[in-house]
Amino acid sequence: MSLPADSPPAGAVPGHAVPSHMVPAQRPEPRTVGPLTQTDIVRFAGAGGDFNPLHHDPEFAAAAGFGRPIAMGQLSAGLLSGWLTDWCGVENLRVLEVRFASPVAVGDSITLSCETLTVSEGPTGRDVIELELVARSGATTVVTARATVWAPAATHAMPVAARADRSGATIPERDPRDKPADI
Amino acid sequence: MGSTLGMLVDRVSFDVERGKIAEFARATFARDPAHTDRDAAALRGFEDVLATGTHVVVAGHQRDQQAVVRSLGLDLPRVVVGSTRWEYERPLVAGDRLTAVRSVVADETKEGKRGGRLRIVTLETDYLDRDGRCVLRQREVLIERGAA
Repeated sequence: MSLPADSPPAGAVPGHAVPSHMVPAQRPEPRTVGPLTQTDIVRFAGAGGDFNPLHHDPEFAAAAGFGRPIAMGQLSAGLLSGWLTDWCGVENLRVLEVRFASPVAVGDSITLSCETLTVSEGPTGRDVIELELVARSGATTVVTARATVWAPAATHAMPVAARADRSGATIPERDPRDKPADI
Repeated sequence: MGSTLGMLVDRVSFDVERGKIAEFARATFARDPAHTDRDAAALRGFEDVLATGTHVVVAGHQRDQQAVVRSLGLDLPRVVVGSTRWEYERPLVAGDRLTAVRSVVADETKEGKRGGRLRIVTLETDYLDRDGRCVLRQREVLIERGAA
């Protein structure tokens, strides 16, 4: 088989002419997640199945040379991926490559941002966008990534409410039972 | 130890489940309703909710990562994951059943930039759907510091 696909996936809306003012931005707006709690890390452990004690046991983390439990690299990768596909639609994701640069610890806030590298016309006339993404904790780069996506169609059929809240830089919804970790 | 090039690392099967999609989406702060609302997915032309881009991480529940590291002759405390790459043929939809076949595609030793030898093992996983089509390919690069 050949990857990635040379044509938009089933269900994708093929590219067609739209008024220029309706063409969405060629990249997502930055998002900040956090401060990450121990609960956030435990939730990801349950979701993904990574139960390495480095991620939830303060004594184990200390013995490994960390002041606090550290998050899984795949949690940061998932934050980047989710943020990217909230913008473009997961059906338009063709390639995502993440590189892990530094650990993320409980209490860190992660800021996700990106630059558009290239926009080119794909074989079906629909734009293909190459992006360089970065996740930072303060001034420290924790994950860098490259992504190739089909340009989200102007008709990208996300409900209006979901579109409206995407302008917010932070994620408001949290389980009220979540509390900062006692570490 | 000798190169492990070509070695089959593991093979696991799992269902792409609606509940697990929602759980993983929440855990990664993904907000697109197509992960949780069948109507939103239907508006985009899909029969059921769509998994997030890194959903196959959930195969961790089926895998024994420590046994894999041992079988590759790696020393777990010295191993870090350097990078992961996913290439998508189509999105994963609730109801998919996947078989993940993981093998070694590169096994190299080289001098680290900060001194010391590094062993770099690259694993590739083909995720096959019910029809045996590869819908997603994953590459993971494992780095062992201080390799002999």
